[in-house]
Amino acid sequence: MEDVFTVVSAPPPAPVRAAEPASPPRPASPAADVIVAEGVARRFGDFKAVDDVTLSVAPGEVLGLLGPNGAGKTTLIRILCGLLAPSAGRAEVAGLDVAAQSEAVRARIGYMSQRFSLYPDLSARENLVFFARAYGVPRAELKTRIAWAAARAGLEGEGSETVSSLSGATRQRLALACAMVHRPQVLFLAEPTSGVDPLSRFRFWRLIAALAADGVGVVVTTHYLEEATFCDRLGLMMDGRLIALGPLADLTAELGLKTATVEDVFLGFIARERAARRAA
Amino acid sequence: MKLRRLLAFARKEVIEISRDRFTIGVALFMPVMMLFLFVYGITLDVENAPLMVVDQDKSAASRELQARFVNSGYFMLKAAPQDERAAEYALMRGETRAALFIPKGFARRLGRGDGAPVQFVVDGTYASTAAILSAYGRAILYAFPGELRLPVQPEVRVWYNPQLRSRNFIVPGLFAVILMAFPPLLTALAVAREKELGTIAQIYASPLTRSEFIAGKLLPYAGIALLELLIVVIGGLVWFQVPVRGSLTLLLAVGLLYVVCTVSIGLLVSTLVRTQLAAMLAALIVTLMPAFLFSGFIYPIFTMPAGFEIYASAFPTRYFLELSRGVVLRGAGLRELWPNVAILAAYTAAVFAIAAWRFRKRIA
Amino acid sequence: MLGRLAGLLAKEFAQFLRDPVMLFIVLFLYTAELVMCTLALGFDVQNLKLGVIDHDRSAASRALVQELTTGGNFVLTDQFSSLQQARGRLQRGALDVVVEIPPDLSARLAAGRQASLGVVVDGSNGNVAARARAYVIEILARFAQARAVARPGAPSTSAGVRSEVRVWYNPDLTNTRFMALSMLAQAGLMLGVVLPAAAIVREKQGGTIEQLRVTPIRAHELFIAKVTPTIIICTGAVFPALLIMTLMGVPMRGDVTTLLALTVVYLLSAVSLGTFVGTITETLQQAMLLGFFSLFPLLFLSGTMAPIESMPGWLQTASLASPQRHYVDIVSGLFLKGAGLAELWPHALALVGISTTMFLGGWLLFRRQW
Repeated sequence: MEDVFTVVSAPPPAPVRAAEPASPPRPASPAADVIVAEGVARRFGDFKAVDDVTLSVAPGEVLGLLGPNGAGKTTLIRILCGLLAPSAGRAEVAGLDVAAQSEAVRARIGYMSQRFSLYPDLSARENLVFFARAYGVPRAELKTRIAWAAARAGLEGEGSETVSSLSGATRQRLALACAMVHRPQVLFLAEPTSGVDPLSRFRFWRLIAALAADGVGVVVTTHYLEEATFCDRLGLMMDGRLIALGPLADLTAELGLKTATVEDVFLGFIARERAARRAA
Repeated sequence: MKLRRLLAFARKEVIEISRDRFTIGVALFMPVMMLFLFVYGITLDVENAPLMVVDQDKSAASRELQARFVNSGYFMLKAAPQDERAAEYALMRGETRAALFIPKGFARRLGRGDGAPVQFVVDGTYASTAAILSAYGRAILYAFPGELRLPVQPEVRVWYNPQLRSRNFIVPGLFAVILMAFPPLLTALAVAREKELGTIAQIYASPLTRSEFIAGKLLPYAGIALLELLIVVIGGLVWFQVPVRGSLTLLLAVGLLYVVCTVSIGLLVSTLVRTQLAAMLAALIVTLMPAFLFSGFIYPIFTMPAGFEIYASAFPTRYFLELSRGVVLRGAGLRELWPNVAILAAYTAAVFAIAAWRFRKRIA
Repeated sequence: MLGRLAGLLAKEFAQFLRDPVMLFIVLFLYTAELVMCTLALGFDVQNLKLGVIDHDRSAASRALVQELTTGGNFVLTDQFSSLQQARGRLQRGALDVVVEIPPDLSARLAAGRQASLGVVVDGSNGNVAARARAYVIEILARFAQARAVARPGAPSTSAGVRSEVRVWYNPDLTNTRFMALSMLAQAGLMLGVVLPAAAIVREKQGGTIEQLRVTPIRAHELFIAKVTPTIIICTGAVFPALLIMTLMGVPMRGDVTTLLALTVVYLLSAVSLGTFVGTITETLQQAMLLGFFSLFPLLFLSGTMAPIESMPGWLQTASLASPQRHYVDIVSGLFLKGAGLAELWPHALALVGISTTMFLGGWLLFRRQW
């Protein structure tokens, strides 16, 4: 409930698009899905971290992955990023196979980890420059691209202090900027709002919405159930399986409820899954 | 100081340490490795130094001279090239330590009583070895063609280490050095890690007092250090059979004091750094290097210029080293060695106090 | 690829330069440490402090004492009337050697019988003991020859050998030069191992390695970025070290180009060890402990603490695999012996071989983890 109050009492944040340099031209977004996963599975010995997941994400869509700890959300993301090879099934991201063409895939995706993996002894600007170069942004465009990414991510200021002295919210936005400086087609955000105050979380979701409006496909994992309302579709994971997939409204209806909080939907599906397993 | 809090803190530290198999492994394995390396690796006497002989005379006399060198036990014939250049190159490369050049006409001139010229060259890179080898070489050459049987025969008595077994000299030294090598490092790293991880903030916020904190850190690492001491003592005395002339109890008791001292130094170092890397490198410079190089372990302090003698005296290793050698080799007891004990005690107290003072700002 | 590599290198250098402790350490090792070790540990092997107890007080005994104290081996510090008197000084280290001349020395010598000379050395200082014994033997042999030649009616064959004994490369027999060179090698190894190891583990611990893996950065680019700064910095540090060494009287007689080239090769082996440590450890503490203490065996086998030929056979063979050993041989050759590549090529070849192997090994292991 406090979130609502904070949001309502805060001055409306400046529109994200004001005073931003012209977006660099991007190739016409293909109408095809930016993520296609079929029967993706990953085992570690006997343990099935991800079990037969099939989903797809369209450009401009925000998919939220929810689930308890250990449900396999992070593992799934790492597979889709090309960081981990699937034990079974296949996945295509940005039109490329993640297992066979993982290197090419990486150039087209952005990833923001839960820890906001930034270099604490470098400044915000230096982090941005580094990641821009790492992603192959041409020298001539570095300055403009960094300015663009910083603006889109809602970063203000010089950026000359070292990251270790920045606040959690600033680091969050910086991590986002570093993940998108190369204009990826897909963004993977692993718990991007953990440890950040409610107002900043809200602002962050607005940034994501703006990115999605640009045609970027976004996959987000989160623990904050109320953030699920910001997503176009939700995927509920439990014990490595995708036990629900779809817009919140559809999921609510599927459970046979008229109105429900996200928590109710979440718990409802988990209960249903457990019952199904006991019966099996 | 509440004993319960202290013990709880120490217990946490012990659990943390025991989970870190790697560090324990290193802490316990390294002294063993160093013991073996140092004892087997360092022999202070010179035996079987490689020698090359360029014999251009090839007479009975020249072969006899060559035999004198080889049979002395100080030299070992590495090669007998015909060409001088070969021997010179070998010297340059460090393949041989000494070379004997016997020119043509050696036997003839010897027979005529003319004084046959011979050149004996020693590689001076290792000054100690070079001095010894050149001395022995000269001695053999002075005596030739006679045997090295001198009208005045030296009866060399080497006190405290009659067979000049290097290990008798090295092992007691290692007691002092090893305890200065690891415990401060481990302790400094432990506190630095807390600082880096941020768990130190919890300690700041807790009712844990300064002395409890310090003692709690000290106990486990002093325990490990004591284990290391025991390992080296047992290894040295039992495996390498270094005889102990004095009181082992005294050695261990003062060893305990020394252990507290070195761990306190580690604590002090940890108050001066912010990161683990810095802790490690600071420990290296402040404890390890002085312990190995400036404590009198291998390189004697008395030959150092005055300034360095003062520097060497600023570290406690020197005092424990002297005590250790005193007890083991010379059978010295408290009566002779009390100054060392007193200095160590004072040193420990001082370091502890400074460390405690440095923690004052944040901890109760 | 170049763009990514350039970005990586810029980051690594920036991180290194940001850390004042690291900068200090690097500078310290190549300057202050060098100076300290050289000055303090360059001990004099001559001028041992001699105490004399002369029970004979004859011309012969005085001649003997004279013989003992000429030549610089021993310096007569004091005369005593008994061993008891000298004992305390010996124990304290104020004396290195005590010589006790028996009352019947001249009598026995005159009668052509063998006399004995008591020599007491404090064996708890092994260095001194071995040297003292060698010097005494030499001096007595010299004494014997001088007396034999001087004896009236001595057969001319006792002219014996006219020997010329030379100590090459270090005629004043100080340890200074060798210590300086060894410390140079040691600094290179230490930093070569510790810096890349820390750089790699820090990324792992900080989580940024995962971030890097999501970028198009390739394994070999990261590898190069982790080792290059160290190689550049340590090679560059040779210059101030050379300057200091010249000021301290260790002349550089060889080719600087050869030195630099072989230093780079040497550093390649050091950084491969560093990357190996960084790859197999997970935390900085582990990396530091492992890295640092793996330096010990290498230090030993390099001949810095004691000459290699004094070690048991199996250690001698093992030392052939140590890059530090070959590097120390090379720099001693270059600096002290005026040797060049023509003479030192076996060591250079061994160094190249070892470094290449280690570098490849380090790289393969790194790539596997990536």
